[in-house]
Amino acid sequence: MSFLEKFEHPNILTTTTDKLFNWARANSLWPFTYGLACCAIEMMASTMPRHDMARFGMEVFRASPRQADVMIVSGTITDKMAPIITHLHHQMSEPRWTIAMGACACSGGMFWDSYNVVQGVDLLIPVDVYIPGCPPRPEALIYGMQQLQRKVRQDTQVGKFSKMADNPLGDYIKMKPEVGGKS
Amino acid sequence: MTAAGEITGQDRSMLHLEEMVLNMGPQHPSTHGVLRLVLHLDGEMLISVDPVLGYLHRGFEKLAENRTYLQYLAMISRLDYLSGIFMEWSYVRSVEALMDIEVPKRAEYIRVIIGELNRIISHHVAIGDFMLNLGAVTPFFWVFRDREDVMDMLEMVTGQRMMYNFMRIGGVRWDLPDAFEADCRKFLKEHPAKIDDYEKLITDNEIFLARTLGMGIIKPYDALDYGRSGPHARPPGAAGDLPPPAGDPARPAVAPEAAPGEVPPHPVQAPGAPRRRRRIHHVLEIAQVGAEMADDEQTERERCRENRRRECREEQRDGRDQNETDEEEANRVRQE
Amino acid sequence: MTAEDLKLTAPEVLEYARDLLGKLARDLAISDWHVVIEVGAEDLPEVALRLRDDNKLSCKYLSTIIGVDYEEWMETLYMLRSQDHSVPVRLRVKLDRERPEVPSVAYIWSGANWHEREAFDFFGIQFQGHPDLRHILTREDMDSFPLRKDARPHRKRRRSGQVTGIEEPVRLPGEPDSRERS
Repeated sequence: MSFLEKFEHPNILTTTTDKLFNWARANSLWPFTYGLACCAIEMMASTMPRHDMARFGMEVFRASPRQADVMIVSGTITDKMAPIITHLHHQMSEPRWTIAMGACACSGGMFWDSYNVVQGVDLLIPVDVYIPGCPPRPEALIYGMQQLQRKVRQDTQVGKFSKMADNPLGDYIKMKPEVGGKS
Repeated sequence: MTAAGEITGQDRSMLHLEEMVLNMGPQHPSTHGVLRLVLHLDGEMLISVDPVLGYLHRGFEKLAENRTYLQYLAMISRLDYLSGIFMEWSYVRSVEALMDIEVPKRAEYIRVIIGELNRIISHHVAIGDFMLNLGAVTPFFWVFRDREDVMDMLEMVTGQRMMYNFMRIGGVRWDLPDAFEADCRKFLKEHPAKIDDYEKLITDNEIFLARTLGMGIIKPYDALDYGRSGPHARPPGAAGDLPPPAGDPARPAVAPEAAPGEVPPHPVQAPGAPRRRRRIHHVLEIAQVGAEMADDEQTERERCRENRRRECREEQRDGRDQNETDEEEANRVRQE
Repeated sequence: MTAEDLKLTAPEVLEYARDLLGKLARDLAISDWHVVIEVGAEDLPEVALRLRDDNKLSCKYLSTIIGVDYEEWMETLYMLRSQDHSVPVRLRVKLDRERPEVPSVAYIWSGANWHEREAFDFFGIQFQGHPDLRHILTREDMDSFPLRKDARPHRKRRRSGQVTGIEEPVRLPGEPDSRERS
């Protein structure tokens, strides 16, 4: 892929390679089994014969973060679990995306005022798609995954590598210093 | 080493063997939900385990301090999300016991039917996940497929697939819809065949037996000592169930077959899944009983409907507003 | 368990417990369908042993241990059940709120281990003689006891526009920014 490093911006020469990469990634998003609570059951149900997520390429749920593309955070994040989420997200290899599934992962949900609950996973890790619901129906999760596919298809591979040398933390660089980003 | 590669006693004195501490962290393929286990292993055999809890502690009790009774009702089914109706039921029953509220008979029947349907799907997940932990993926898919039928019915009644919010203090939220009974009876006819499928696949399966028989043995006294009762205590021979507290008004007034003390003791075979399957047969029977009891209520419901229709007709005839509240009616009567 | 034992009623259990425990039981009462025995903290292990080992009462099953914070004092409640009769027995121990300490019954009923850890975790009740008293449900470094009545319960509501982890939301090209509309 060294020839892509020569380009600073997407241009006519890279449209097809971008399309190729994006097609491959969007149609084989491998989710990371990160079921925490009730939404996990609906996440499991969405891979089951009634609503089949495998037809969109997402059937391979990998338990190891290295092998997974998209982390579906389904369930309530507690204070005890928070460092583990960040740890696992760090361990996922790029390209990686995150889906916050359910009200608890989006914003703390109905437990927002509990002493032990983090008000939304986007206080910890960057989130690409938010799926509201308590729990969201499997159809809603599939719709959310399709929105993520749409997002992936807009992606570009150009300019990433030169930026990566200055910016090794990748998407974490955008996070505010209070939560661990660099300014 | 022997020719077969086994480690002999002589080898053992030469090798330095030590216990391995492995962290089976809160996220891994077989924690449905989050449970951290610090394992002490000798090779592949587990010597001891130290569970670390709290990764899904949401603080329900503290949140309840700042919710009204009705607001909290919506939250409580998340406690055990697979059998949410029982969480609501126990909460609602406690409030009714404190306030001496009597629940109408039809509502009790509806509670039992919906509750037992929920128990069926909860036990299905138990079987499926148990088999998934042993490495068998097929039952996992089967149980979720069968769950969908029941969840369709529950969605028809309550509007939700999982967190029903159906119980109310003093009854249930609304009556069963008309199409429910036919669906339920159809399910009760067809479902035992599916459970027989599970039995055929799992019960005498060589791998299942090899992995579960003789594992995790608990002596009868220890069972009670650790606070195990019911299905966890029957296999050790601790005679299982505790007698239900006499005079406890929090037990439902119907379906006496559901009393735990009367479940016949099962022969001790492979632990785990077969026990649950017999339980599912049992709850299917209860659901059938509930459905039969609902027949008695059919006439009751028709009678109520007739009354209401008659009232509406009378009101129309007299030119009164049908949506008048009691206060307005009292005011109007006073003025006349 | 015999058929006669199952027919034990709550008043009978209360009288039997009164004879069994003598001076150790400060107060016996029937509340709803439970027999409630109030004991002092220092007498708790002796009472627990007697209730557990007695042939007739044989309260071998500890259902749960509950901590309660009344604002002037604290309590621990021990819910006991038996296989031989159907009367639940409840032990109440009143504790001083400033220094809530009570002997542990973890060596009497093994299941009490975790229940006591939970009561400690939520209320700060010290169980003396507990083999491993540490946090069970909250974070290990949690310094406050959340279920006390004077504990700050709540996090503030996360208002829209509040700092999140990400400074710029990632937008799809060509998609209108939803915040501009409102």
